Amino acid sequence: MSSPTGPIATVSALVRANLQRLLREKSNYFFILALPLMIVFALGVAVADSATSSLIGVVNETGSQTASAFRHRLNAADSVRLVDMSSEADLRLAIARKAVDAGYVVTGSEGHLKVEWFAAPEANLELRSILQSALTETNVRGQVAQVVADQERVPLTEATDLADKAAEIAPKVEVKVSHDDDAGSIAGAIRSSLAGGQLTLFLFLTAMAGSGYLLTSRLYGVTRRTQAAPVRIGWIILGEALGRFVVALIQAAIIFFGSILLFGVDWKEPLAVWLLCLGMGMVGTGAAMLLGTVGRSEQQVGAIATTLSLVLAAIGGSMQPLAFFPDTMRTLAFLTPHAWMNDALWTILVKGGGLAQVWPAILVLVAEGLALLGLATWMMRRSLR
Amino acid sequence: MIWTLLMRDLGSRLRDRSALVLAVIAPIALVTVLSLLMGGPDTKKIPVGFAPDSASTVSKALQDGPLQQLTDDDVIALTMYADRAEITKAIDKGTVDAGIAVDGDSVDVIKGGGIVAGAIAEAVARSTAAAVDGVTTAVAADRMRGGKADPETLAKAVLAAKPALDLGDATPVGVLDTKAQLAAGMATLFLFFAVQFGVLGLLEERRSGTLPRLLAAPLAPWKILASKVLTSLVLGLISMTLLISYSSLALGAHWGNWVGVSVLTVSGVLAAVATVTLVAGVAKSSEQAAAIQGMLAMGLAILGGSFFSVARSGGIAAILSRITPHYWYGEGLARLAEGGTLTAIRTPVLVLLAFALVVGVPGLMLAKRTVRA
Repeated sequence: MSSPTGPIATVSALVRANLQRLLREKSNYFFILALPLMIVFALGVAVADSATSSLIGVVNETGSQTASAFRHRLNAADSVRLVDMSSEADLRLAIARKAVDAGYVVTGSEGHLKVEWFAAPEANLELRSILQSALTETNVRGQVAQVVADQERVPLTEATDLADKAAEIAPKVEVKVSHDDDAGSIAGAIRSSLAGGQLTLFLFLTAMAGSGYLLTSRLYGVTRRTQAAPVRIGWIILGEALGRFVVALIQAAIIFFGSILLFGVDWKEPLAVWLLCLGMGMVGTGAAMLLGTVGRSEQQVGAIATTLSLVLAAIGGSMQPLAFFPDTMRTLAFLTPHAWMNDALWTILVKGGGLAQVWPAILVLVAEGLALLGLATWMMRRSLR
Repeated sequence: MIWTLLMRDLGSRLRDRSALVLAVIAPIALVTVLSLLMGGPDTKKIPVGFAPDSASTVSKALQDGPLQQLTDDDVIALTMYADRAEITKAIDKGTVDAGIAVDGDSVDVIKGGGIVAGAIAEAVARSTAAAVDGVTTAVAADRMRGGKADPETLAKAVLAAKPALDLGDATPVGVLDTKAQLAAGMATLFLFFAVQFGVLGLLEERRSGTLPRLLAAPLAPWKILASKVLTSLVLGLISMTLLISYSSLALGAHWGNWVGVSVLTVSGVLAAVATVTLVAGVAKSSEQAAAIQGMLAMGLAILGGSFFSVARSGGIAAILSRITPHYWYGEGLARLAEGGTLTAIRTPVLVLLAFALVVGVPGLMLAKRTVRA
């Protein structure tokens, strides 16, 4: 049986051989699947409600009705989530640890209740103003009853009844709350861009893991021997790269679909986001091939891959939204592929853009990926000469 | 003898650039980058729009009361508009994040992008409406009894009446310095990479054939193991110490009580060394061990809150977070920042040491097999 020749056959044979080498070792399945699943979990936590609401710790052992009415009103504010705690010490620790943003402790008994507010020294004035408003609302009924009691010289219980009756007939200020739908929610935006940033970070990180494989092929002399056959260096690199690209894509798919299925992350424009993932996968694979070509030992390559993945991600806006960068840093950020993808994800997730707006970013990623592959080929050719 | 082995191992590790990159360069680079990003736009005043109605009591109450107060306190930046439509336009343009428009007895709260701005606007509108309603009620009650009390006087009386719930002054709580928190996150992340260069050397030496040769020497196998574990320990301590010193001296991070930080750091490094020892005992090859250790380093860091707080989310994630040394290291630092003394970090230190024991003892037993085999 004669086998077909030509570049396509060569590349596909290399891809097959590389994938076989990867999949023969059962423990590799674990690594290929475990990291993306961990990332899905991280994404899930990043998009959780609590990542962007303000958390207020509540310590209330008084059993007072007024205190629980107050709690109820505070809970109605839509940026606030209340967390019940058992003691002032717990509250202080939670604030110190930033598990909650601030908190209050109710002491005393009905009629003589005191609310003590705890917060970090510099921050959270807005939370205190929300607390104060809820307090005013809660207090006013009792204050009116007191005034009526003084004014009409009747006992407090009678005054309360009188005030309640008067409240029914008195004209009321009407408060209407509406939402301007054209404006996006900042909180939602931060949440989306956090999730997007994690996607970018880990796509690159998992793809970079491929550098070790090219390196071992090279170190064990497999690459040199493959070269003995009438095969061009470019095809060898492409064969290695495609194999790793397939693995990177499988991992990207796990992250992408896992986050949708398990945590209901809404990627808004799935096609555009998926194309961005492909682009980032190419950049990661290209960088991995380059590193595998120039690296000297597996440990060295592993160390550089991890460091590069995290540092580029930090500069490129994966750990903090680009929108909150100082100006110079934001400009510098676009030297990294990460910034291109994160910015495109911000356009899609926050500004409601689609493929029409983000295709330049996809193009940049693909071009960078190809450039890195080209560079890797050139370096490999030099090293084998 | 252990000393000789340790010095030899440490010497070769410190010359090895990969160890240097993961233990020192990477965390320092990351902390530097992230602290540069923190210099971004400060927490500004929250932009809120207001369209008053000069004939309305609520409008006047809002403007002179809470809106004035919040402006004076530098919480909000108030911009005046003619009517509701203008506010909506300003929200669409992003000039303000929320607004309040008053027309007679009707108060419109318009929420835009800023969730906090919307919440403040709504809270202010509702509390002012409640206060104005209170005064109207007091007047109505007086009129029901045939009284003729002056509404102004009644309004002042309502405001002056003793509230059922009295709000005291804010009590400041010490929190962990943001830069120190950031540096601690990165330090613990890379600690788990740094410590691998000691113990995992066992598997490398087995592969390269130097281990059997060492064993041929008149040397107890446990001494070989001990020297590797000590190498990990020293590398971990060097990595943490350098990052703590760098972040405090160059970036101005405040870590807190030095004795407390040192005790915590030593306990944290022990927990990390225990982890890598177990990995060395379980893994079949040095490649596999490095892969498992890398995965554990990333996984524990994500879970333990090195990147963002998992504990905030509550639920299973918050519970899982508590099995990581990263969480307890951060907890210890927070307790020190809150003003705690050495006794306050007893629990975090004990948890870290318990982790080191529970993971490290089986790790040592398994790793000893590797030395003998």
